[in-house]
Amino acid sequence: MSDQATTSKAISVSNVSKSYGKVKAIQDVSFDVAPGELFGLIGPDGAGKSTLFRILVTLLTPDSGEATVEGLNTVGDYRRLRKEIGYMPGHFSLYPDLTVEENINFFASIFGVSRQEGYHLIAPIYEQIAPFKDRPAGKLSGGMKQKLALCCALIHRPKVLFLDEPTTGVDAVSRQEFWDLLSQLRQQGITILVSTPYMDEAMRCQRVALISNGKIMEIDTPQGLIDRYHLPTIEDVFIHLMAPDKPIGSLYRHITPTHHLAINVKDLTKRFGSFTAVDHITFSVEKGEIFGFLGANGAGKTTAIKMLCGLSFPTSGSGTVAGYDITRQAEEIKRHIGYMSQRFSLYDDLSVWQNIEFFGGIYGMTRQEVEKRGREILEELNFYDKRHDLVADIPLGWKQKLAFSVALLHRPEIVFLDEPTGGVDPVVRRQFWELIYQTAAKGVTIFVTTHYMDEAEYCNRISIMVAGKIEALDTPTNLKKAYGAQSIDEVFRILARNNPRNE
Amino acid sequence: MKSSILAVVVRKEFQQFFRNPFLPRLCLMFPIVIMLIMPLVTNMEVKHVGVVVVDNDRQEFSRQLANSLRASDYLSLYEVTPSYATAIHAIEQGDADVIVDIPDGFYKSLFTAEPKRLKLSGNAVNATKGTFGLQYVQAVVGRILAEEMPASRASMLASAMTVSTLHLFNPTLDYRYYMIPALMIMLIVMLCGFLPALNIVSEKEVGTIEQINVSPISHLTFTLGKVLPYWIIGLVVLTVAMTIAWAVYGLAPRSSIGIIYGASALFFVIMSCFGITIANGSQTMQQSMFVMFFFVMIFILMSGLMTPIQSMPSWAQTITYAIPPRYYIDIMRAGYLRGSSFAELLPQFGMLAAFAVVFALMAVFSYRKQS
Repeated sequence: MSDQATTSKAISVSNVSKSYGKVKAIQDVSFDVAPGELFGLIGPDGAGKSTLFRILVTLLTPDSGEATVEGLNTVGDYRRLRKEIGYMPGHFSLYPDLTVEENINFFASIFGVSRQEGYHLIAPIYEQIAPFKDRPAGKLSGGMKQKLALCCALIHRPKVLFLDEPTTGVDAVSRQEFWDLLSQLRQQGITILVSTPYMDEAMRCQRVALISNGKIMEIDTPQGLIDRYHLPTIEDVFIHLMAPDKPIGSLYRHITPTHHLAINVKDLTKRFGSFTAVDHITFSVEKGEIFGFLGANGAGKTTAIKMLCGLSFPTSGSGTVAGYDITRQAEEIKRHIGYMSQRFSLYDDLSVWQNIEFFGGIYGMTRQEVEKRGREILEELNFYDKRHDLVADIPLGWKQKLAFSVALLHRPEIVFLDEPTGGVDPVVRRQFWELIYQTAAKGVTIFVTTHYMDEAEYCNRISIMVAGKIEALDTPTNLKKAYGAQSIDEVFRILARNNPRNE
Repeated sequence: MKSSILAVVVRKEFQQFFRNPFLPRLCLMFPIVIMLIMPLVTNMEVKHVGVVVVDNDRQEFSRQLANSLRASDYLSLYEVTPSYATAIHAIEQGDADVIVDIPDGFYKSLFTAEPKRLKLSGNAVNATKGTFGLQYVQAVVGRILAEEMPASRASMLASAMTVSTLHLFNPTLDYRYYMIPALMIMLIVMLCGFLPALNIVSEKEVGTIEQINVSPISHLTFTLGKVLPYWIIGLVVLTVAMTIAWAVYGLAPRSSIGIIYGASALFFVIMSCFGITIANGSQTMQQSMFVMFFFVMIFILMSGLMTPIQSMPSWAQTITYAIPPRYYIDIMRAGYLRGSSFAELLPQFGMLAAFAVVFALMAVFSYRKQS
């Protein structure tokens, strides 16, 4: 290891490979990151990003090749190195039952620093969460949790910060605030390596590396990539590189809903003690419509969906779903709806076909029906040949498509999708939306929540929920007109900024 | 409830059970290990209690007593000394737990109107050894007296020492027989109670339970689908345990096998529904396991499984009527050791059946598809 070569580099990776058994997680990867640089790692699920992170933060040793951070070898100097780096893994590494304060103090003490030492660095972030300092971390909203996790990763004043998909499942406004914080940190000279499935975030990096199947395909500035490939956005570049056979173009397809109502609710309210999670929402969804149900983290979307699906009793209000009363006929509703939750909902330890047999069975389908329908949906996905694969071994993108198809097994009239594309790369998201359009074209009503604002543009109509209330409801075009905005993203920001709950 | 839906749920549970690299092996190894090893180690019999004889009499009788003590399996003579202080020292060092103090002129006084008394002292720090040792020594003394004296005189002297501990000399095997049915019960408590609870909570933690809750499956079908596999597993485990008891220890039920299986079937229902009820009320693995442990400890310690109910304080004895394993243990011990008939055990069967109904209802009604 030559010191001269590494002092001008914050991170240097040369010819690093790592395999798990026969699976080559990363192969011969090399790149450098300059001090103070904000460097993005972009790639599909299973590309090897997390493995690379784990090697750089000394949790894994590479099979071959060498990596240095701040001139320290990740294998030989791992003890000294750990003092210089901060790491925020994909799933927030917080203790949900400790308060905000206790979490910070705990992380300060395990790094052997006092809170005051690192305080000036985290002060601008901490101020935003300070009002909730006595609240258990588990009760914070997604955006707040992520800021707290960042504070915890920064408390020992690291020189290099590693962030592995820090904003997955976080709403657009919180994401932007988070990236503003990253820019500030960079100005203080902290080097940041970050991975993200959001392409708007990739644009905010100084340079990005596109990684696929354990290999780096491109390293450049985002604008440089766009210019070189003559494509309008970084997302298009990603799709072009990852799935060259897919034509790039607008995904939007016109769907004509019928004028029968699939969902019709009036003054639907849910209170938990003194907290009103959903506050008198009134709306209706037409049959065959793709309805986007947007809102910031903690705005009450999931609670509202649970009431519509018969998982939760409304405190007050009334409504019908698929023609059945949500207060009295919850079990009837369940026969006519499909549901796919944020958390992955197939059994990992069963094969795809066993999952289909199970879910078909509990909806009371006969063996012959399950056989026929299961074959039909798997053939549509071109997955029938692999039906005996264990779900645990299938890539995330496929799992999500399968979960969606399984939710359609019993031919529901309405499908509820709660953040179906969370943490998924642009190629898979497109495939997923194609599936949604195919389904909607057959007359199935789609009720979908998402944090990707580009997806909101694909919907017939969208509602935006803020602090338990529906603040806006119209077609994307009309909403943009009404708020004088270029995109739904902007409309969302305008509305969510006024959020009194700010939680 | 549709039987076809139930079949689907049960099949899925078994698919997951056999896909798990660990559970099927555990369910086989658990009864084998417990039944092969535990009867040997959960033996509460005390052997080789150290005894010190303080001999101030120095007669033939003293030597004979020392020899008898030395010959006993249950006692081991540490030393014979004229000094009480030396004996106390041996106790303090942990070399002995009982002191036999033979006063000067003891043997002669036995033939007078006022015989002197042997002074027996047991170590109260190691209470088990001390108490048992005392009783053993008393028995040994009683036996020598019987050999030395005319029968009437001997029994008078012996009763003055209150020797009535002969059953403790019962051979080791009896205790093992007493423990084997208890170990079978613990196996069922563990496997039929904990596994369904873990199963439900892990579905909650992974999130798959939501997918079940949005389906029209009924509470009864789902609950039954969750417990039924564990009844079958319980049946297999019980059969394995009974086979080992018979093949290795030569212990077979004296009553009909139907009594054992019948009571066990009721107990499977009780334990599995109990586990499900706890899991339905828990959000995390940690919570459900801790609540389970709490109740299982009470079940095991208060049901007469380890210690006889008769020796508990009366308030505790009253509580044991509310503890379902109590009745199951009665039936298992009576079935295995006494050979009671079904008619004799009817009250216990009645209570078990009542508990099974109550727990089953609790399991079904504590499951909430909607909050």
